[in-house]
Formats: sequence, C-alpha cells, structure tokens
Amino acid sequence: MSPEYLALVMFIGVIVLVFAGVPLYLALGGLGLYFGIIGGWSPQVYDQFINRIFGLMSSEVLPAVPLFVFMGAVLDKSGAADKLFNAFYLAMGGLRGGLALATIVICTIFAACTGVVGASVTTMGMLALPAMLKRNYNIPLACGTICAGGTLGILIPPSVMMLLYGPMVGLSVAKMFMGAFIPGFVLSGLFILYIIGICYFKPEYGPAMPKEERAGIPMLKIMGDIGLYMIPPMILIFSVLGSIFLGVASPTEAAAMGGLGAMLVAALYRKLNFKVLAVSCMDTLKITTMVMFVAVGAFMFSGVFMALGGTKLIGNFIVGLPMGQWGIFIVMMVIIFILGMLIDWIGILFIVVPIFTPVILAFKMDPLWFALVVCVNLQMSFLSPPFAYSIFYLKGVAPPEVQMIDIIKGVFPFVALQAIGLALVIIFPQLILWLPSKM
Amino acid sequence: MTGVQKFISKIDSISEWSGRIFSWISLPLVVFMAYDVIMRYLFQAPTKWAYEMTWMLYGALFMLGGAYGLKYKLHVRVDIIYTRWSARTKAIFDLLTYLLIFFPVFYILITHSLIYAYYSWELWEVSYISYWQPPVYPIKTVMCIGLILFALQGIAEFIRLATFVFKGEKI
Repeated sequence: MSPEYLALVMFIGVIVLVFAGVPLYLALGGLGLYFGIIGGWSPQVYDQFINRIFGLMSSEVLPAVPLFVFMGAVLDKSGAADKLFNAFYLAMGGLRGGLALATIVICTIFAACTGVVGASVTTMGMLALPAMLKRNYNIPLACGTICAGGTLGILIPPSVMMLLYGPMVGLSVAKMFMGAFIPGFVLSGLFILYIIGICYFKPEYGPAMPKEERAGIPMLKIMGDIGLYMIPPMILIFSVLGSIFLGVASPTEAAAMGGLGAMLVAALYRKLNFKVLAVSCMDTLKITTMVMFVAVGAFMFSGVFMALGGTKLIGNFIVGLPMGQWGIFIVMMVIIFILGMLIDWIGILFIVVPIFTPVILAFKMDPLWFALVVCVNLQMSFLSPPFAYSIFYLKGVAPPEVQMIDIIKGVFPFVALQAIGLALVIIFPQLILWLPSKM
Repeated sequence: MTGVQKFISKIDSISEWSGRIFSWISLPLVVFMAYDVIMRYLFQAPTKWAYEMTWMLYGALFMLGGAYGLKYKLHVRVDIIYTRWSARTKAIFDLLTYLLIFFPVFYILITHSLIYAYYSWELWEVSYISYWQPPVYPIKTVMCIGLILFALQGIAEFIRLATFVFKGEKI
C-alpha cells in the first residue's frame, strides 16, 4: 500500500475509533503506534514518540495551562461570584429579566478569570438557577442563559483552548488572547440584547422582582457590595491581560501572577484556607492531565500522519474542491460546527485544525483571523446539543424539576446567537484583528 | 477479600494518593514563577532557575496525574454511541481497547522512556536552555514513573473489566 492510502486509512480510523467511544488519547496514540509500525518506522518511531512527549513536557507556553486553571479555580472558590450575584440580584432584580442579565454579566467577568468552561456553569447553576426558578422565570430561558454565559469562559481570554492552539500552528498565544477579547464581548452583548428583547415582548419569561422584596436594603449597601466583590477580580483581570497586551509579560508569567493574585483575592475575602487550596490544586491536576494526555496521543498521531503525507493528501483534496476559497472556508466551518455537536473541542482541535490550517495559508487568508474564527466556532461546541459540556454540567447541579429537554430547548436560541456572532467575526475581520494590531 | 481484590485496591489507593499528593505541585508552580516575575520587574534581579523549574513542575504535574485521571475516568471520550450500549457491551469494548491499544502503547512508551531516562543518567545530562543548566535526568525519570503509574491503574481497570465480563462480578 502506498503511504497516501495508509494515511487515508489512518484518518478514517481515527474518526471510527473516536466515534465508537475509544478515549481520545488512546485512539490517537494507538493509531500513531500501529501506523508507525506499518509505515516501516519501528523502532526509531518509538524514540520519536518519547522525544515528542518530552517536547510537550518541556514547553515554554504550556505551563500556562495549569497556571490559568489554578487562577480560575481559586477565584471560583473565593466566593466572589456568590456575593456578586446576591448584590446584582438586588440591584437588577427589579428589571424584567434582571436575574438573567445579572447571570450574563457575572459570567462575562468570570470568563476573564478562567480559561475553561465548567466552573462558571456549575457555580451559576447552583446560584442563579434556583433564584430564577423561585422568581418563576421561564425554565428554558434560565437554563440557556447559564449555559451560554458559562461557555464564554473558553473564549474570553485567558483560554486553555488558545494555549494549545497557538503553539500547534505557530501563532502567538498573546495575539490570540487579544484577538478573542472583542469577539467574546460581542457574544456577551448579543446574549444581553436577546434577554432584554425576549423579556420585553414576553414579560412572563423574566418577571421583575416586586419592590417590597428590596425594601429595607439601602441602595448604598448594594452598590458597596458590588464594588467590594467586583473591583478586586477586575483589577486582577486587567493586570493579567494588560501585561500580556503591553508585552510586559509572557502568557505564562502573567498566568503565574494571576494565580498569586487569585490567592490574594481569596485571602481578602477570608477564603484562603487549606481546603480551598487543596480543591483548587486537585482541579488543576485533573484538567491539566486530561488535556495534556490528549495532546500526548495527538503528538504520536500527527508525527506519523504527517510522515505518511496525510496532511498534504487531505489538504490537496480540500483545495481541489470546485467551490472557490470562500466555499471551502464555509464547508470547513460547517464541518467544525457539526463535529462540535458530536465531539468535544480537544478532539477537533488536534485532528481537524492541523489539516485545515495549511489550506488557509495556501489561500493567503490571515492565519490569526482564521484561528479565532475557529475558536468562536469551537466555543459553540460547548453549547450545541446533543454533546455539549455546558448542558451536562448544568444538568449535574440543576434541581430535579429541571428536565434535560428544558436545558436543550433553552440552549437553541443561544446557539443561534453564537452563529450570528460567528457570522459577524467572519464578515468584519477587524473585530478580531484590531486589538492584536495595537500590540 | 481475595488476592485479586487486594491487588486492585492496592493499585487504586496508589493512584488515589499519587493524585492527591502530586496535585500540590500546582502551588510551587504558581509561587516560583510569580516570585521570578516579581524579582525581575520590581528588582531587576531575575532568578536563574525559575524558567526551567516552571516547565519541569508543569511536566511532572500532568505526567504524574494520569493515573488519578484514569481512576476517575477523566480522560475524554466521545460517548454518543457508547452510552447506548449495555454495561456488558461497554465492558467488552473497553476490554478490547485495553488489550489492543492501551497495553501496546504503554508497553512501548514505558520501555522506551526507561531507555531515554537511562541514557540521561549515564551522561549526567544537563539542560542548556538556560544558564542554570539543571540536570534533566530527574524529570526524564518522572516521565517513566508517570507512565508506569498510569499503566498500573490500567492493569487494575483491566482486571476489573475482565472479572465483570467473565464472571459477572463487580469489584
């Protein structure tokens, strides 16, 4: 068999194994091993594997993964989100849909403290969902809001997705972070507009809190609480992202300062104790090992796949499609979106992105812009059913009367909003490229 | 408890404790790197060890966490089809995955990482990335240890699956 055929079998093989349910790191690593042997490269290929794994361990950028996860975990456990939600609950509860709006605002702030999805969805699921249910909010709207707000965590920098994406295709992580900033806020803005709109036309979706409930609590106290629980995390966010933007610190250095800052914020709220640290360290270990072992498998896979000429083969096939550059670009986006409904972002990132990126380079499209369009698209994968982490996380903490179908129903409008956001960043590349160009 | 059960619970507790202990690597990772940044920007006195210390701690964290991840089934899989199967079908599928993929992959990775670490020890190899020039053999050894712990937990999972498939017992 010629190497091209082997590469093709390898590519089909990975899709079959992944969809059959073989854990990603094994599907990728196993195919790397077997095709390395079939390709006739044993035993040298084994040393190659070890070399590449050691390369992953000695990365300059990737230590930022555990550092940012740690920062997010500590801030999540500092209790700032709880206190902030209570304050916003009182401040905005009088508005139609006020609690849903408060949820999006808090999720947006905390998205800028964390690089993953999960913490926000579970925290808001435990805080905001019961509050909204008690106020007779429309259940799907309440669920959709929390899921959508929570997924902002992976897009608004810092983002673990971009820490892995950047080095893989040779893009600066710092530039990717800055590029994601405006699209993240565009999405957050779209969510807010939608909630205001739907609660205006259907007031029963987000009934305003009666005035009596707020009576007796002075506005000054509410505003004071908002300041107390919003300003320290905001200072932290701006110093972390600001130092990356100004080029003062690398993402890894900024992440370490972020981790230290998060501990200071937790100390300020008197939550810096052994238990908080132990749980945060455990979260860090879990997420880091989960993400990095997929990377180990992917490195074993991609080395052999490239040696067989697989990337080129599929790249040439895509370029040869008779539909023009933009037609091909749209097909890529649709493929990523469909895969996003079925598998999670790590798989798409490691399998699909290395194949698509050379094609985009051949088309002379801006690689930074393309990478961030892909990230916005991948962010949808957290939200688009049937396979969507946000939905699972929320179901895990939701009260029993909330059905899976409520969550799925609630998520649909937000997936549509994300699609609008995706279209916006495609039509107006400046949304992505303006901020990095100022660095 | 039978001997097999004892063996499995031994491995389980090794993985459990490895995760609990090694998770604390996160803390020096944050503190050392932050210390270096502060020293560099505030006192113009960067440490010479922080850069390499950072990647070594991070590398150790993810390598040593693998076994704990396996015990708690944290390693990502796509379960759109998998969830529809019966417990027995799942177990048979997983059993085959272990036999055909997990063990061959880990056999190769462990044996070759041992050789890799062995050479490093033999040369007393140091890193030339920074002028601290730290020894590299410890972290290369950590890679072997991480992979061995991971494979050990794999053996426990495999025995558990096999007893379930062939004897119908859950242990």
